[in-house]
Amino acid sequence: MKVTGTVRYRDLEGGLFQLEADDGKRYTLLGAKKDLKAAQGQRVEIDGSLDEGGFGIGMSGPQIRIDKLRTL
Amino acid sequence: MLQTMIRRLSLALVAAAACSRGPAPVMQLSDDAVPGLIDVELRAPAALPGKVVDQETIEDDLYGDVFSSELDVELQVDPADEEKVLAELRGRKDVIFAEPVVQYSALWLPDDPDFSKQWHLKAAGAPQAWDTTRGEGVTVAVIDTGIFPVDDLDPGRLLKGYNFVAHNENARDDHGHGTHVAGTIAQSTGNGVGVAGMAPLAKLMPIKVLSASGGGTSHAIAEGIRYAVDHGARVLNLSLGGGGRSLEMESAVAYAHRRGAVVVCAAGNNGSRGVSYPAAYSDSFAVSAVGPQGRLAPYSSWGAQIAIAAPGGDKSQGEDKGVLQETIDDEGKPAYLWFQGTSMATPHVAGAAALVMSLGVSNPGAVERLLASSASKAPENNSEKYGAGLLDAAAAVRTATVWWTLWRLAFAIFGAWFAMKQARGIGQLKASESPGATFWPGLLLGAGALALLAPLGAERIHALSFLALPPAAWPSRFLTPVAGYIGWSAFLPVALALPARAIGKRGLAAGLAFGWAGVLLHAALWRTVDLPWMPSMLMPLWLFGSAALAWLAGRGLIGREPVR
Repeated sequence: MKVTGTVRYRDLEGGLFQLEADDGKRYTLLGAKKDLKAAQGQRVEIDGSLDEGGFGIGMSGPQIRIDKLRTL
Repeated sequence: MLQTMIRRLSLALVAAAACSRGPAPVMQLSDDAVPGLIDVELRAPAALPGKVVDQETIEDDLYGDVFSSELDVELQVDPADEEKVLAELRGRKDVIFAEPVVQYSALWLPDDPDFSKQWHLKAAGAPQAWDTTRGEGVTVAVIDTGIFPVDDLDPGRLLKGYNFVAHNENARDDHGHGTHVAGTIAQSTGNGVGVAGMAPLAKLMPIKVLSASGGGTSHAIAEGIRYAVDHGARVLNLSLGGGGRSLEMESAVAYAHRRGAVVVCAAGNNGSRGVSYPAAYSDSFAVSAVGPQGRLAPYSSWGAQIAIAAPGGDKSQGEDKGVLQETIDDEGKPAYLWFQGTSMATPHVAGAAALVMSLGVSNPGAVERLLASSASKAPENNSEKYGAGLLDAAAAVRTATVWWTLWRLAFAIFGAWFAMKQARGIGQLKASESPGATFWPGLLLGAGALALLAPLGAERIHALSFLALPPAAWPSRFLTPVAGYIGWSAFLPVALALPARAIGKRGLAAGLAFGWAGVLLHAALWRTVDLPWMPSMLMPLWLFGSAALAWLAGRGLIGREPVR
């Protein structure tokens, strides 16, 4: 799936990145930690696989496993 | 009087320290001070600005005159005026010194330099619990991103685990989350390094089910749960979750619980109603997170499934209001970091479960009931947010030692009284006859009465820590779970009965049998014990039957053969 939105850092579970998507949803982002760090607060387009009921440390909504990240 | 002695001793110690290192600052009003209580030393009786609670004449060679006596007075004043009164007294010529009375605790406090920053361990009641047990003999599986062998984890307590992401035996953490969680459970404590953990003598089993990104599949988690239980873990820590209800994982959690493991799970970080899975399964013990004031943390999920609340940190109040443990940073280097999340609350409960299980409580339901019933009151009456209340490991440990021992003793004494009454009724024991001088010591030993002394610090002399458990629990706790059949049965009281009769130790063996029966009856009623391969339905039956047999052994020993 492709989704656009703004990258936000949340100080939870040692720190995780979430996407405030344009459709109003909030996704926890998995992978590409370095790119996400650089893209904090910026609008991005993410290409990845959605894991609706996916498990992880975030425990705060659906997760997207990132394949590609592009800053807009 | 005792208080005064302790105070005097501490004063002497302070003075000795002052002599060796130069003058130490005089004690000021602090959090440790007992409000409104002042200790004054006078050269002679004089009027004082407050109510005299206690006074005695002493010889104070340190601060008073060597050849005369001084008057030591404990003064009660209005706490609001305490500072003013202290200043006034210190200005008087007839006052040798005046200082606030400070609470000295009998606790063993670890020497880990940053332990003082771990408000969360104190809030969870760990320090008081450590005087009785530190979790020895229990394995806790950390089903997470793995565990990195940081310096402040005892390598001897880190077991071999498994990596269900890469399918190999390398369960090293490549993220940091799992190591932090493991630290809360069993960080090396009292080693003079870093920080402390809830159950520092418990063993840790790293089960890696989440990748370096912190995500994983329901299949890997379910596999990890089953592996951990099959390899001896009795507490499973699942600081992970998701919104999807996986039947495979639900079945694994049920399997773990049935096989004797407590499955402690994080409620989720949605900051709203709705507990994530696996916490929401009926066999899980779901944990919500609170901040330093005991209020639900803003990120914590809540819902009907919440069993208990524990400190997970609230960094909206400051970085140091998080949970502090050693882990690895983004570069993979060891670091002491403050984390917050329901993942951080969960291992406080897992650690407390390990403490309780090390006291011989092997039924996971009993562990859960004990933690819930001993939880302290939450700041608001809302079971969806706090479950049974705030985790209090000290209260749980106290119940499993002091209160349960009192019940065991009560059952044992009642059993003995009833047996004697019956024996007298049919002439096997004369009214004037007692069952022997060793009868009562035997009963106290069998009922595990020495556990009443455990809170005084059985764990401080580690070799004595077995005293916190009744003898019936020793074989399973110190040998193997299978040896539980020796302890949690009437085997020993019955086996001892014959030789005891032959060598003339009837009283001792009878007392022991009644004590044992009391312990077995308590275990049957409280459902505290599981035995390997024993179906849970049969367990109470086994224990009731064993209690009856042990009582019969005692009953047989107290009576002489009837006169024909």
